[in-house]
Amino acid sequence: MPADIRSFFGGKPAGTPAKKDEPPAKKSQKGRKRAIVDDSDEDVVETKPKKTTPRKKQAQREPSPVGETTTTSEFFGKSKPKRSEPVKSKPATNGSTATPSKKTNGTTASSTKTPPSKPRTNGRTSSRKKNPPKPADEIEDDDHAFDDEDLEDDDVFEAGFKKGPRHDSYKKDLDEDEPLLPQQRRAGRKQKPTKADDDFEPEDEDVEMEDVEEEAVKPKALERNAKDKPASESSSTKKRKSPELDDEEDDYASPKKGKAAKRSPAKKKTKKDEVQDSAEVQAILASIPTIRAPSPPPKDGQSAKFNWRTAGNATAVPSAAGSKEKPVGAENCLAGLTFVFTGVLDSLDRTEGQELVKRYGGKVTGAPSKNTSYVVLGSDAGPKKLETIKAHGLKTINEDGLFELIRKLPANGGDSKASAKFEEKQQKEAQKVEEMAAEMEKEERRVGGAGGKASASGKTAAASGPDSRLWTAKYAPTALNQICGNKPAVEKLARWLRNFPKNQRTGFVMGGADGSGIYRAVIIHGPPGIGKTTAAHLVAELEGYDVVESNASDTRSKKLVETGLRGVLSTTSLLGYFAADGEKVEESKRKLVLIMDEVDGMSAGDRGGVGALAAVCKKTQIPMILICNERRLPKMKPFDHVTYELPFRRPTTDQIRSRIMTIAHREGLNIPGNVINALIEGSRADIRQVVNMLSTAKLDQSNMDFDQGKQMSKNWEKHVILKPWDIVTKIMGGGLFAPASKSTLNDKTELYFNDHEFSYLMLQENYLGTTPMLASSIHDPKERKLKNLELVEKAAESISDGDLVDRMIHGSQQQWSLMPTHAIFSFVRPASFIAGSMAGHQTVFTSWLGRNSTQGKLMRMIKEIQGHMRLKTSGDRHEVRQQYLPILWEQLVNKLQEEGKEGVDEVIDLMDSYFLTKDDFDAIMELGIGPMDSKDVKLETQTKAAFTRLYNQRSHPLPFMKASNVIAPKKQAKERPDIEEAIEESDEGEVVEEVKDDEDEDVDVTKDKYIKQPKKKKEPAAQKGGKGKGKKAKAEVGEDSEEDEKPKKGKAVAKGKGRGKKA
Amino acid sequence: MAQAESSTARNGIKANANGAAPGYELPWVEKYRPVYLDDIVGNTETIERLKIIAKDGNMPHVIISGMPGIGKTTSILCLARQLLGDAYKEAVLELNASDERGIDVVRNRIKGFAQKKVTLPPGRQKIVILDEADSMTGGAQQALRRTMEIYSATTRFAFACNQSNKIIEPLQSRCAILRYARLTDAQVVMRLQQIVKAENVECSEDGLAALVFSAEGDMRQAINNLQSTYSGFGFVSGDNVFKVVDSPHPVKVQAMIKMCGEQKIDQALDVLQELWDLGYSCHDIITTMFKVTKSIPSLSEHAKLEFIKEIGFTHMRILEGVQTFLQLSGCVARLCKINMDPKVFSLPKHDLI
Repeated sequence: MPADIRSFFGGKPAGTPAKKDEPPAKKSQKGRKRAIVDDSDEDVVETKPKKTTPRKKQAQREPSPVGETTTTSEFFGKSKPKRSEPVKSKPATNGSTATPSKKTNGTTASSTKTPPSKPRTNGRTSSRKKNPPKPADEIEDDDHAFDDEDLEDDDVFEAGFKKGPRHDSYKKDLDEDEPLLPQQRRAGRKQKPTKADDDFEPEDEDVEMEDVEEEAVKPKALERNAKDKPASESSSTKKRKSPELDDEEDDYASPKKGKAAKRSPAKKKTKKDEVQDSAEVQAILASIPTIRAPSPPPKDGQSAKFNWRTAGNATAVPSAAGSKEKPVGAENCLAGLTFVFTGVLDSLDRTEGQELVKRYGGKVTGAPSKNTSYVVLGSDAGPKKLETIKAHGLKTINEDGLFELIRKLPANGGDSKASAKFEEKQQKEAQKVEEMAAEMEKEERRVGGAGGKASASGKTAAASGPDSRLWTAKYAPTALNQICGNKPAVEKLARWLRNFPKNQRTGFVMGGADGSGIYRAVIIHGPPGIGKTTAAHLVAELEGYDVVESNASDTRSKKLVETGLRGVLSTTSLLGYFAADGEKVEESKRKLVLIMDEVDGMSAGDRGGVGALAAVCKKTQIPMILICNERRLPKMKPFDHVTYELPFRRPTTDQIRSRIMTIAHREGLNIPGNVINALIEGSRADIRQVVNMLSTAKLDQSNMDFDQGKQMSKNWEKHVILKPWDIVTKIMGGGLFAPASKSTLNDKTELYFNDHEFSYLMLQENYLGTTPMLASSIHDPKERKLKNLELVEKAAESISDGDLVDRMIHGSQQQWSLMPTHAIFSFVRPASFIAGSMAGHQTVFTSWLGRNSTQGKLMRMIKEIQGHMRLKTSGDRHEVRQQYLPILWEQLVNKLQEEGKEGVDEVIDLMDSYFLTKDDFDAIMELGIGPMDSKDVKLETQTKAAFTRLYNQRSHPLPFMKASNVIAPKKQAKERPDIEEAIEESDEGEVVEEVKDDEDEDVDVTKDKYIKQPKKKKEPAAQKGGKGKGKKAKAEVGEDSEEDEKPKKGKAVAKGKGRGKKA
Repeated sequence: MAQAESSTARNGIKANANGAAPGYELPWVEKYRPVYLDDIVGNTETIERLKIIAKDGNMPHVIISGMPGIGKTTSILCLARQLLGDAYKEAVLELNASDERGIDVVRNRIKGFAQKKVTLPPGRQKIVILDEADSMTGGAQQALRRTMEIYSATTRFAFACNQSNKIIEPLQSRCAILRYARLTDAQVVMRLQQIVKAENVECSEDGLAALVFSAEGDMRQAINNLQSTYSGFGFVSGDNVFKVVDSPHPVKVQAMIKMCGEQKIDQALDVLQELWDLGYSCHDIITTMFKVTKSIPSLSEHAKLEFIKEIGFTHMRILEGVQTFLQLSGCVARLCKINMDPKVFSLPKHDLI
């Protein structure tokens, strides 16, 4: 494919972040939007084409049609004609939307016409090709890709643009490393989804998307074909019919417009290519020592494995950390350059390196592509990256080269072409920011006018002083396009709300396009600070609903939810009928929406609230929007299937940046883009916090440099208590013990105290899963193994020491002052030995808890056995376990196993002679280890039955009453009246047990115990009462019904027995 | 109750402002609690920001976190007072861990307060001060979330806490997070000197140094120790301070550990003997050794861990009841041994055989 087309593709990426979307439906604003698109697309331009290597493309494209046609040909046959129909209809919309853009942006207009035809065919076919060869296991990736897919349904025209690059990336994935690492792949693909998220048009296609996801690729494709003609047609027609304004508004016309707009940068870029770097810069660039990348290892089965291990490199620690001084260079000297880090550098750890590059305005991407300016190569570079490097002939430098670069390059990257590009981008961004700011101002004035009116009527106090509001309130989005990120989710929400009345009429049976039609409530979930509540309120307002809100500051117990909401659920808003003086009655406001905020905040005092709320969700007559942070909490379970789920994700940095820049601009803060990036990353895309940061920063400074920004985001870092999983990952795999690490012993101890009950258990469970750093410098495999062993031994020893300490803390002495010691012994010290990459190791939850309870149970059994044997033996618990049990096993269990029924009598005699009960017999079986493992014991059912029967028939000697059984005098007194019953019951219990034994032998012991214990002791009692056996027959009749009450009865029996004995 | 509380706070301030009320001695900590932000020592950058807020109004929600005794509560109180002036009484709701702050209180009292109308100058809002917010339950914090937003036009929240990780993430996201660093020794000394001057305390240089050292950046503790030393001995000298503080002098312990690291066993034992003769209990000495070792700068981390291992075992023995000098000496000896060449200890067996 010719280069120009690729650059054309490059221009296409719909990477347009959320912000760009539709302006409040005014033509005049198109220009602005355009600008945004331009800008954002540039980002994509850089990342996108990365995947498309010219060489590869040729190589791959030729074979692909041939090799793959077998599976796809029929598909093509079907799909093409159908596809073309929507195409026909679409151009109309395209044209309509494209025109305004032409008006505003003359530069791009020229290219709008020509491209569609060519790319369309190209792109489409190639994308089709790509589908079939996908192995089934890739399907999960489809859900990343489906957004794209739906795009193409919607608009083939546009799909054509999309395909090219995507196709390439798939191709690349497919043939570059067959044993694809899922993670890498996913990462590679991620770009696509985000891009698609931003501008895809989720009107009616969602259902298909879901189908697509579930089905294998081929059927999917076919089915989609069948389906999507109507779907896309309907969507297009529907949209067309809807008022023009509507079209503009939700159509997000941006993909189309974006396309047009995007072409321009692409063109410009090519033009700029002619601008050669100035000699000076060239000289500098040339002077940078490049190193030769090692050739990638041969591709074989091994390589996949190798990859897994090196995948951990990101956290690996440089050998000579901190040995070199970090260079100081001119500001923004790396502007426009793109770097990729791979392998372990000599003295920088990777984040440091990346930070360094970012500080000087460079860009860091994860994987090399043809747009990469430099690859900073360390040892153990990933083979895949090496391959790419080789394929593209990228410049590789080492750490020193990077330092050189920073030292030598002039500010703003001099006049190199890269920096020129960068500058252009910056300008564009600045321009856009200014436009947005201007618009914001305009709007503010408008609102201010309204506010003035409002304040006249005494509505808002905020109107009195414009700056008395928090920035978060001041700059809260007022239009959908101002919400950063999560576009599709917001769209879905709006659509659901819009369709609600219709669905209500039809009784919520029609799922609608995205399946949301059957729900009366939606649940929005996602981390704090990304605009969930804002989006909900905004959408409600835009859809003309009056909002009733309830949040965690209201009591929401079961009763209150049931009674309190009743008043809301079937009512309409007064706003639809009345209004304040001089205001118009808005009919639309008659509708109510209930927003339940912080549903997961229903806690103490809200008992039953969640259940009641879920019940309400099932029958509400007004739309309900629930909002929570953690959807997966068990207490949120009731909302499964009752609500339509809308997950909100953290927006990407790009999505937030322009909004933040705009705010900064409006407030007269001068903050460079890379600082803003740092702030956003530091807060983990918490928009609210970034805004808060800005407002705090504004107090005493008007600009901010990179270090200040870093410092600030570090200060503002939200501290949350780590979960045991994170703790163990951090201490062992987090590089805390690296020589370069700045964390002190106290910091590490602090980690332990994040969860002092689990952290050390988790460490113990996982400490074998690392590749110890201390041994990594040894190259001889044998020696390394030895060293590993040694380290593990030390760690294990330290953990054992920790147990000694633990005994003093949790034992009888309760020496809590030893906690810090315990932290060191059981947590920090072992970690210090085995810390290292945890790549390839899945952190496991501690199994100690389970083991501990098993141990306790077995211990109890032994105790019981020893208690019974006490009259005949003198050994303590341990002796019984170690000396008697193996022999008893031989004589009892093994005998039954070997001799079958014949042995039963002898066995029972032996048991009686030691006062062992049937319970004890089972216990002995369970206690067997090694060759006596209870799993290997196979008793015939008949034998078992005979044994049980015989055992029950006989009476057995009872050595003594167990203290625990005698203790109950109080209860006894209470129950005295029904002695008879108790005894009777005990008989029944016995019978029941017998039956059960026949049926399933390996019932769990605890259950049996309750039943059987009584039996043994009861026997005498029963005899005394003279009722024992006679009753049994009678009882047998009722056994079935009694079975489920066993445990209870067992207890009663025990009591009865105790009493009997006393008597 | 909040009013009562804030009013007592104000009384304290009055006493402060008037100087010592005759015949009634306030704790110096209260007496010299800063009234204005300008008086607050340390964390200059943050305090500067607070001053700007105090001047311009429009206080954002804030979380102030940091160690005890570094002025968190004081700064919030000062800020509130400066912002609201005479309206302090009715426009501030102060709740600390001694008040009930369950979810019901949040839902009723705080929300009620937020809804209350108080006439304030523009740019001023009511302030809810939640001291020791890290002891609030998760549910109560959840209940604050929307309250903070909905009433943000009229009410702002200020949290003070020791550990910000006990504050749920959504609240952190809503607030400006100010982290107070530990005060530097110089800052503590400065303040102490002011007080010494105001109270006419006789003191020596090393007395102040000892106060500062024992306080570890905790201003409140430094002032309390100053007062106790003064009222107990009348003169603030290093020895007197450590008598009051009553813990083995960390400097000495640190020196001892250092000697152990350098295998100077005799000197180390001398120091130990000295400490022992001062009458410190085994337990005190070993705890101090543990603390000091954890943060001693001259040892590598690995060495520290090895040292701590030995100290830990000795600690256990002492806790088991063997509180003898011998144990401590043994511990010191073992510490020395860690860094010594193991060959030194091997018996010259071959001669015997």
